[in-house]
Amino acid sequence: MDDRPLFGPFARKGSYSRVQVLDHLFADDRFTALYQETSILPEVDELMLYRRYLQKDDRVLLHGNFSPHLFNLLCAEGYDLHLVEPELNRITGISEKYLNRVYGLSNELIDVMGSGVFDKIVLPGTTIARYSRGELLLFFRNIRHLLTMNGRLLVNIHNADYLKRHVQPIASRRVQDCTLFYGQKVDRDRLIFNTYLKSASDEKVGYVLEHLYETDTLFEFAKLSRYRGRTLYAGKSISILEFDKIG
Amino acid sequence: MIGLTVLSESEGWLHQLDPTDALTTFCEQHRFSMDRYDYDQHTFLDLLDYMDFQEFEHYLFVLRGTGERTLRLVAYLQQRMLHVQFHLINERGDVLFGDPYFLNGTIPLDGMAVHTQPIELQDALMSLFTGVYPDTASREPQPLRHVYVETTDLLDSITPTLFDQMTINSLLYIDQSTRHDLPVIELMSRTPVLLAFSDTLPFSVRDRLATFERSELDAAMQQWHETGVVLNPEQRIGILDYATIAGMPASHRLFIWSDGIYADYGKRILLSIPSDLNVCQLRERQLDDWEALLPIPQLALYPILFQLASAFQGTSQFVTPYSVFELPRTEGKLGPLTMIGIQNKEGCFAFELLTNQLFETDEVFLAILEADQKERFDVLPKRLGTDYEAAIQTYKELIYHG
Repeated sequence: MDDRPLFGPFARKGSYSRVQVLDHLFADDRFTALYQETSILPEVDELMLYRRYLQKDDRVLLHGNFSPHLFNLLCAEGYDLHLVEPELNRITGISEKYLNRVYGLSNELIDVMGSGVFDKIVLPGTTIARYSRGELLLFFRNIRHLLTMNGRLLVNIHNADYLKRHVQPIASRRVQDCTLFYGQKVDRDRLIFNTYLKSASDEKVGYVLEHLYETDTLFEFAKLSRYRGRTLYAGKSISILEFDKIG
Repeated sequence: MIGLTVLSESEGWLHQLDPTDALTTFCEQHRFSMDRYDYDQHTFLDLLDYMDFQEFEHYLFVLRGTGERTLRLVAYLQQRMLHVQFHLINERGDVLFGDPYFLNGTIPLDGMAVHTQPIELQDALMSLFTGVYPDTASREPQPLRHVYVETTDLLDSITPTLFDQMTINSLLYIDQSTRHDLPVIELMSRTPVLLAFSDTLPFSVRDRLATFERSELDAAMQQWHETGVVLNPEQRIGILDYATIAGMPASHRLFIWSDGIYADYGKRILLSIPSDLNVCQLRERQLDDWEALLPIPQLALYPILFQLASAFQGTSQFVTPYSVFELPRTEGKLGPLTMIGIQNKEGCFAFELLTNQLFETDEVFLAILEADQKERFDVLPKRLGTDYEAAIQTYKELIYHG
């Protein structure tokens, strides 16, 4: 219990025997929806971003944390999108006709599609934030084989300084019969998201650990993994980077 | 656990003050939990939930300056939550509510800036009647902000829980001259809402708004796209029910008339008849609005252009990425739009959207601004001729270094 990254009132709630502690926040749909909503940084219009940087004749792999609405819309516009999403409740809302483009794990994807078939891989900021430094470096190396010879990574990264300066104080939502609380805390280079819900039938806390990265770190990892990169957009809360696979 | 918060009040609007280091240290030494709460985004019910969640035993409000509504809020909380002891003191330490016996020493309040710029009532009424709010971030469920009630006698027919679901910094507007009749007194005793009547301001905000049908607004927006021109010949300060007519997704307001409850002042969207009021259902129905006439960033920009057009004599042509000026229109660059240009018979101007500052400029600046907005710097050497380099340098210094 002590190792769990719960803070303040969330830690107190988590210590009560009646309160269930979810190590995997996405096991609860209500937590998932709240987390997805609070993770959105409105600085960049995602639809415009993908329309601008993806070509319709590109085969594109989206690696996790992608809006079902956006997925449906872009597929309907003719983009050849494929999605790896291990969380079942995060694909709710994807149209049935596009479900054959969704994979639970990268292994499944390779079984169906094979290696070296994607012109672009999109890594959303929330996917990057889930990996520690070592994991991220390995991830960069491991996804190389999914890309074609001239394949590219499109990475958006939530700016660490901005997130540290805009930590969400404890806030709440009432959704139908349920009250949800959430808040963030910075712990060195990690952002801890805590959430709690209470309804007539259950009481739970959950958390997500996000690793904060500067763009320099990603350029360094890219170089070590044999990519060559550039910044496409540098904003206050978000940066968008593009990396070419080398050799 | 003892919670402590410091706030100020201006014309009934509550403002949370940021703690100084001295105050944070004081709280740590006295084992108080320094607390901050967002009165703009949260409702009265949210605040009650929050107090419960935090498991406070005592909660001390420290009011800088004067204010009657804070006292009403504290009394409301105490009435609704018997297991938390609420207290209110002013900056001199005078106890206004409760009995903070646990407080030893003087709370260090020096250096805490009191909010001096009130959220003007006029801004709140503009939001009520136009539906345009400065914060357009989408969240579900959307908080209920401003409510319109035709006459005070309707207050009796409204379930009191509706007012508990308004954000703490929001307005209940009654379309009659000021009165303190029984329905108003009963409401005030139940929920500490902020009230305004038709004569609270010396003029009517509603009368200063333009009226558009949806097809007319659509045509006006097409004109803006094709020519950069936004017409506002009567110099109105906004558009009545703009958010509803334009199909903006945010919906923070309710209109309670004797013949029903509507999503807009113009009674285009009926949500419920008065006797069938279920607040949750009503809010869900409110989301079934019209399709957006334009992408949301453009819908959010248009009222600003319309208001700016009212500040100038004659016709104004605007420089935005979405409209034609010297170059064809675009969908805009990635990231937020920070500046727009204005050209009319009074001259050339630029308007900073983040700071709401207007400054006078010239045609060359507007040409570069448009090229920048549309990522068409390639046209500038021919457009500017020998002045090209100096003009670009001046532009960059202004844009990037203020």
